[in-house]
Amino acid sequence: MWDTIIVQPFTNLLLLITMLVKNFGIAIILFTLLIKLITYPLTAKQLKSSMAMQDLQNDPKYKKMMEKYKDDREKAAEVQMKYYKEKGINPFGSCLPTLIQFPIIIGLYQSIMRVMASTPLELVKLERIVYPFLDVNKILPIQNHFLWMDLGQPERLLIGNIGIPVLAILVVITTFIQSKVMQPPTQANDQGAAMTNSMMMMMPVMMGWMAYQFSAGLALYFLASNIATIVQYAAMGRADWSKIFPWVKPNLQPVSNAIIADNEEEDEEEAQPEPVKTVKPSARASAKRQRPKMKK
Amino acid sequence: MNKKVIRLLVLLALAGTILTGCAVGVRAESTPGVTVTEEYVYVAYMQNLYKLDRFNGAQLSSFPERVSTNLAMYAPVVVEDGYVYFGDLANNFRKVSEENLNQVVWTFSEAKGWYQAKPALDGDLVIVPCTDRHIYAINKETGTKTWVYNGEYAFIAQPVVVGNKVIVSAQDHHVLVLNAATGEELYRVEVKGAVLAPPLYDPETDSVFVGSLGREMISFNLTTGDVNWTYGTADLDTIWATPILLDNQLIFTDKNGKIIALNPDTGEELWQNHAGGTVIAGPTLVGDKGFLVAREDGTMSFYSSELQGGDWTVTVPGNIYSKPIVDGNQIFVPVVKADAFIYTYSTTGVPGWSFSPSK
Repeated sequence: MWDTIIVQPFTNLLLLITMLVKNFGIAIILFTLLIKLITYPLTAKQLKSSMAMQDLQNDPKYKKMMEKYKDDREKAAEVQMKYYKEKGINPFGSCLPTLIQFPIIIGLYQSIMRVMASTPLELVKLERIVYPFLDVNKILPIQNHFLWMDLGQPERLLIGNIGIPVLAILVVITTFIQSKVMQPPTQANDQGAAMTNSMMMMMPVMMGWMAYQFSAGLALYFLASNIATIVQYAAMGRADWSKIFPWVKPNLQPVSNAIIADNEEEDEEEAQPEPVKTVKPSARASAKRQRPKMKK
Repeated sequence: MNKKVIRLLVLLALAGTILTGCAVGVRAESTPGVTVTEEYVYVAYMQNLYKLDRFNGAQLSSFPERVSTNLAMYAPVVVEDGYVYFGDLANNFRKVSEENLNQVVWTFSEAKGWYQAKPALDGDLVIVPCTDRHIYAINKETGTKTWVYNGEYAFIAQPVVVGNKVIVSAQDHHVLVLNAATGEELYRVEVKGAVLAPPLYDPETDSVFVGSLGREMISFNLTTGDVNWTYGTADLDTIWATPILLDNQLIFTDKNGKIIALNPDTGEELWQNHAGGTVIAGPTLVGDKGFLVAREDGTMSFYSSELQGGDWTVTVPGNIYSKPIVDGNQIFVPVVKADAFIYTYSTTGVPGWSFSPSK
C-alpha cells in the first residue's frame, strides 16, 4: 500500500527525471522543486493559518474571551473554535503541510535507496516497481556520483584525512535562515514566542543531524527544499531579512492582518459568518496601529 | 520552560528518532554471501560473518564480537592460507585469521563505498570491486593499495583473473579487461546492457562469455578483445547470471526462466527449455553430470545435459537470487525471506542441514 501510493510513484518520477537530465543529483533537485510546486497551495495556506493564529494572540477580543473562560476549559475551547470559524481560520492549517512533509521525506529516502540499488536483489526489486513505459535497461546504471558526493552514502568532503559534512552544515544554515525569515512578528509577552524560538534552535540541529546521518541524496533534498522555501517566501514578500541581516530594513508589512483580510475575502466568497469588526480596517491602517508594538 | 515548549521538544525528538530509525542500520538488501572450503562454510549476512561446520551446519564462530547495527556484510569471503578476506557495508575491507575471525590482521579503509561482491585473489593481491566506482588491488601482506582502477559506476560483480588480465563486469554496458599488475585498462568490450554477474572464461578457446540486461549473450576473445558472436532473440529476457559450460554447450538462463544452450564456438542455438518461473540465479554446474536451475520462488531442479529436462526437483523454503554452490556431493543454497539463511541438499536432492543464527 505504502509502496504503491508513495514509493513507486516517487521512484518512477525520479527515474523519469534522471532519464531526461542524465544526472541523479539534478533529478533530486528538480524532484524537490516539483514537490514544492505541487504543495504550494498547502504552503500558502500554512502561511496564512500560522499568521492568522499568531494574530489572534494580539486580538483583544480573543484575549478577553480566553480570560473570561480561563477556569472553564471546555467552554473556552468551544468559544475558541467558534471564533476560529468566524475568522475563517483552520487551527490545523499550519500543521498539515508540515505533516505532509514527513511521508514525502520518508518516501523520498526509500525511493533514493531503491534507485541506488547496488545488489542484484535490489535491482530485481527496482525493476519490478518501474512502470512499463520506462525501460529499465535504458535507465540502468544510475550514476550515483554528483559533484563530490556519492548520493547513496552520507556526504563528507574529504580535505586531507578530514571528512567535512558540507551538506549537513548547509542544511543547518538554510534551515536556520528559513525559520528566521519565516518567523512571524511576535510580542514581547507572546506565549508562542518561546515555543517559536525553541523550535528555531531545534529544527536546524535536527535537520542537520539527519543530513549528517542519511544518504547524501536525502540531504540534497533537504537543502534544495530549504532554498526553494526561502525563495518562495521571498517571492511572496513574506520573508523578513532584517532578522538575518541587521542592516536590512525590517519588513513591517502587517502580514497577519493582511492575511486576515485575505481570509475575509475568502469568507465572503464562501458565505461564511460575518467578519468580526476588529479586523475590518484595511491592512495599511492596521499596520500603522501595530507598528509601535512590533518587536525589532 | 513551559509545558508547550517541552511538548514540542519531545515531539521533535520523536520525529527525529522515527526518521532516523528509517535510515540508519543496514542500508542495503542482499542475499547471504556463501563461501565453502574443505572444512567450513562462511556465511556473510546482515550484521555477521558466520563460520559453520560444513558437514552439520554448527556455528563455530562469528565476526564481529559485538554486533553493530551500522555494520552489514553480504559479499562472499575468499579464504587462502589460513586467512579470510572480506568487505562490508561500512566501507572496510579486512583480512582476519581463519582460526579466530576476530583477530584482524589489517583493515583497508580507503574506499568510500560498499563491498558487495566477492573479491578475487591474484598472487600477492586481493582484487576488490567496490560501489564507490573503484576496483582496488590490495597487497595481501600489508593491506596497502597496490593499484586502483577508476570506473564510472559501482562495481558489484566478482572480477575474474586470467593470467595477467583481470576481467571485470561493469554496469556501464561494458566488460573491462585490466592489466592485473597495474590496473591499467587494456580494452573494453561493449554490450547492450548492464553486466551484473561475473563473466565465464573458457581456457580451451580463450573465450569470455557474458550476458547482460541488454538481452544478449556475447562471446569475445580474451587476447584480442574481438567479439566472436552475439546471441539475442526478440523473446529473450534480461540475463542476470553467469553461464556455464557443460559437454561443449554454453548454458544460460534469462529472467523469464528460459534455459538456453548454445554452441560456444558459433553462438548457434542448440536447444531451449523452460524452468517454469523467474530465474535470477542462473544455472549451476553439478560436476560433469548436469546442472541446477534455482527459480526465484525456491524451486530448484537438476537437469542432466543429455535429457535436458528436470531429473529431480526440490522446493527450498525461501527466495533464491544467488547461485547455489555445489562442492563435492553437497549443494548450498543461500536464500532470503526464509527461516534460515542457507539450506543444504545432497547432489541427489536429499535435504541436509540449514542454518539460522538462532539455532
